[in-house]
Amino acid sequence: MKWLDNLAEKSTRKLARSSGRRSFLAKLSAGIVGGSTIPLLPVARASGGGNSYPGVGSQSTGNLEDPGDPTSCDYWRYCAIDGFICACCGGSANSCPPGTEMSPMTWIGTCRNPADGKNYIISYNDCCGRTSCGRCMCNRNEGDVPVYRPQQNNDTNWCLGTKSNVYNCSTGVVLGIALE
Amino acid sequence: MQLRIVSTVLGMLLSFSLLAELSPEPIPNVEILPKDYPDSWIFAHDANFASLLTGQLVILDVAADTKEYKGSLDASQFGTFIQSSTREELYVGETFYSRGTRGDRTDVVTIYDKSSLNRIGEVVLPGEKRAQIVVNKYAMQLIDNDEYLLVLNFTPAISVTVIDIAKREVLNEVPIGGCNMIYPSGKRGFSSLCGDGTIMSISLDKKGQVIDRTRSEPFFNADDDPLFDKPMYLENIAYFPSFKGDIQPIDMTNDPDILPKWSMISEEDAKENWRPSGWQIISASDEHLYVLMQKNGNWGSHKSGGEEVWVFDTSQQKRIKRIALKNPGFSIEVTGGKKPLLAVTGTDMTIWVYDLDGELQRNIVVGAPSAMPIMLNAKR
Repeated sequence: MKWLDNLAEKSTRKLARSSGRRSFLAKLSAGIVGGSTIPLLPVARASGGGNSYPGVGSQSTGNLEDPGDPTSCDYWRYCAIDGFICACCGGSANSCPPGTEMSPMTWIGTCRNPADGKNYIISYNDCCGRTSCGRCMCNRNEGDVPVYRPQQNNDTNWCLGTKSNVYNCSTGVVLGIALE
Repeated sequence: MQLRIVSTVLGMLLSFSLLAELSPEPIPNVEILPKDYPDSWIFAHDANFASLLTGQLVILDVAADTKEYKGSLDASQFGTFIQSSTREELYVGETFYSRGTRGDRTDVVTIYDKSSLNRIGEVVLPGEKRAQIVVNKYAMQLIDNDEYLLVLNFTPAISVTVIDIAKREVLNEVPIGGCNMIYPSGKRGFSSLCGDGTIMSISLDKKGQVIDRTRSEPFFNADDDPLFDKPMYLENIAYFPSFKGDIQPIDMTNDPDILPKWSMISEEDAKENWRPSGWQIISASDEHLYVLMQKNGNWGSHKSGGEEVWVFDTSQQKRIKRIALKNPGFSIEVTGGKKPLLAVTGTDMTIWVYDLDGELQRNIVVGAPSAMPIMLNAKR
């Protein structure tokens, strides 16, 4: 999902915090780090455990070759994600929550796995057909271009080609090694 | 002392006896709005990301310190909105499923009466393809003296549905592959920005059929310095800000005429990395553009919001004022009329109202804490 960008930015986070006004945005965005929507942009992410979302339990892949916490916006493969993290919503980094439908259309990013230092193509398939999950909003606008470049734009609902285009959450599925 | 108490009690009894009893009040009793709204009223479009099925438009009087909330319209699932300036009608593009989040999909333009806010009609859109994009004015537009309503489609093939709005009749679907959005242009037509840095222009006949289609030479670079997709029109000129701080004016009187661009950023501003940033970042009053600006901007910060609004004179192409916002802004809109006001959706998602000298007037909460009124529509 690529429309929640207004909640996301580092700068918004800074602005919202400094504003000291309604706190939901600051709270919500406090955990947002996100990634780039530009394919082939190598972005390394911290891979430490734990997330920064209050009331969301931490997880671990339990796999040294895939290090990190899938509920954390810092998780390496979320470098171009934009939306609610499915791992926080009953799914996982590469699966949708029960009862939802995975969108066959998607946008992709290229993320560097800190374990092997290799770049992987990640497919950010949305999960559709249930209302917004609302947990673990994760977004960033590096490489985002307005809607006249839809494939690089994160303002568009990508729940397309599904029975329902109601958006629930986003995954980050490994498609393979990126060719340099 | 006793005398004073007695006189007070007598005084109270006397005043009670003068007050009339309350009359029974009618039920039901529903408010109506004037047919012609005051200039200070705006439509705040709450996309409601926490529950997209229940997006809404809230009508606010940004000049009022009392009874500032006037009413609301529904706008379901990435709704779009536009006011008619020739009919007392409001149009909302919406998507519904027969069983809420599931079932049969219906795309529809819902037509509201401006005074009663009752639904008075609808146009069902064919093909289950209405574009679902985060609130953007240019996903639905009126052209030719508001006779035709244009609705954007995205499947991801991109096209525009042409509607005769008086007859409530769909006339045509115009493919605009490689380009996106609806910027009114010409006598009866629209233009769209394209990913290759060009602009496409379509002219329509009275039956909504394409009679001419042109494409400009490339004039912007979407990789190096993209144009924002939400311009501001002053008369027939659309002013598109760029990520790095240029203004690209395009005269839309006929086929788009790409006018010379100019920069909003002085050398001094550049040292502090000022850039336009936010969602709806540009508005206007008279010949003056109002642009939401961010200090220390960078690649990727174009939707963060900003701490100042800069005012530019379009004829001199020069900044004439800086307004420091009390609370950082995410979207802005300037109202019309004799006493225009600057309405700012803060990054806190409440509305902050300033006069055009930059004095904060008031703060208005739009709805629930999850409300996200990220697009403000002044009276059209």
